[in-house]
Amino acid sequence: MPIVVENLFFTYMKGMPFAHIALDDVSFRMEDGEFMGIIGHTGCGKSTLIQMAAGLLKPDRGRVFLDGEDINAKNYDRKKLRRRVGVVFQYPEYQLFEETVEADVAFGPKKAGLSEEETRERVSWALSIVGMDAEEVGKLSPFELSGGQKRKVAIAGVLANKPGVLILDEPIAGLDPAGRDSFMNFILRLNEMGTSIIMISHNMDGLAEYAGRILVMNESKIVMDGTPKAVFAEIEKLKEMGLGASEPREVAHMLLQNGIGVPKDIIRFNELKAFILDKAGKS
Amino acid sequence: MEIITAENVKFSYTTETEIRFALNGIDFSAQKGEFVCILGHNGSGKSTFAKHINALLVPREGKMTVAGMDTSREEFLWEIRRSAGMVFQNPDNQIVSSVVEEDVAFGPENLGVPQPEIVERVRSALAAMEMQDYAKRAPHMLSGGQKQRVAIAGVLAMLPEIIVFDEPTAMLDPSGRAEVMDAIRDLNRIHKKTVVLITHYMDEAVDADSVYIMKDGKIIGRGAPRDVFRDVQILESSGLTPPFAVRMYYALKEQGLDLGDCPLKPEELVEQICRLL
Repeated sequence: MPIVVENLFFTYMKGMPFAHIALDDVSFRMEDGEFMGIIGHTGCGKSTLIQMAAGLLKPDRGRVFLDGEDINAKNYDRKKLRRRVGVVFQYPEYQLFEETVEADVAFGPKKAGLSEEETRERVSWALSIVGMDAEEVGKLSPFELSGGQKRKVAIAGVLANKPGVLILDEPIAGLDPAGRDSFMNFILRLNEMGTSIIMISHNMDGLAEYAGRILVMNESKIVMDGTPKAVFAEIEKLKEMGLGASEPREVAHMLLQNGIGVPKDIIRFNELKAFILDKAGKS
Repeated sequence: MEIITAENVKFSYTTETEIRFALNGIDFSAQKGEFVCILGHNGSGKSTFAKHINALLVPREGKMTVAGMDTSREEFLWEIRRSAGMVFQNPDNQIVSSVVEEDVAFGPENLGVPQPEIVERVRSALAAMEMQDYAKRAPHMLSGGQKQRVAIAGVLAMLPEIIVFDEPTAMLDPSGRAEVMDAIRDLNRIHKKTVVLITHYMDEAVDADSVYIMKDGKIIGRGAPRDVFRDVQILESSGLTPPFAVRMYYALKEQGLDLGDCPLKPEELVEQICRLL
């Protein structure tokens, strides 16, 4: 189910002294199964954009289509949207509310009208995707778990609705490196199973490894849209916007400035390693 | 002079069903004016230890002193809290007022500092954080990095000798992170504060005077960053990701390319590669 965003405009506190333009003519089309990263400085409009793509905010002007249907049209069945598009906000662990892990994850499918048995299956499936065992943790209170585990339960709650599109807003903030890696791996697994991913992130290294496409936002507009290699090649433009590239790309750029001819499409650890070894005649 | 000491400190959180030791025999010391970094993964006990430095928690066993005062003695509580200020992860949870300068004045006001001196302290604390131009602004209109610098100014206005930072950059974007890290380094170098930085970003620790690595409530490594980050065994068992330069150094070495001394920063790595190629 492709998402098409057409000429979105949005202003916060319109007509007030602190009025702030958050989106200024933003358009993109996303195909099924894509893994798209969104990067941009704080306040660039990226969180506003995903809230609109998820139908949580209405644009001042412009349209959002899911599967060819305008999600803001009067006669649109918004239940369809809720079932198909899952959203994981920053610090999703703060959204836990039920007495047991099981009940928390079951909330969505239950509301969607699934039978008890189907719900139970969904719960254990969703927990298994995030690497947890329903038998083991199902009866625990979510509030007894560690921070990383709470986050997994909260995400399982979103996955339990089997969304075709998963939108994540900076999902790995505050996780340690091991937590970050396992999180990115399971998002990748979901993507390989066919779920479309939209992920706001400051983790350029993660996007370099996993995303197929990156949107760069600056001052309420999309200013770049391309593969990680194409986007990170423009490292100087990114720096002007207060952003950066993946760490391997940053180092490659420094080498280039020191007269070593590193190609601009080296953005991953292993690519840089192979280049250096090759140059040193070690490969 | 030792300004913080811990000897065999143990602390446990007790739930209905179990006793879990969050700290299991910590030995620690920081010199006056030192920049100490405590690294560890989520759940390693580092935040629990941080809360011991200003007596938010006190040891179940062992002994902890701050500026020469035993943290378990209640009569020292307020003096310890004044000596050791604390900055947490989420700036939004630390801001109490709707005007920046009033927020910074909150601490010294509660200490009963005379009004003219409060004005001066607020001015110099905001200047130290390069936030003087925002004195009359509303904190909620600031960026994350700016809010965090206001929170730091609020601690600074209480004139602490020690400032403890508990993952102060975890919620910030890369430019906010750089802003706050610069401010922390200045506090140590220019304003001569003893800084204890708790983090799981190893690259934030490369400028520290000394580093402690925590795991499962214990210290598994300590020393200068240069020594600790070159200890492959410690790095592997810590569950942390070493700085990029260190990772690249070892990856190249494994393939038979030796750069010589292990670099810590990207600039050092680049320099060594340039020398070689």
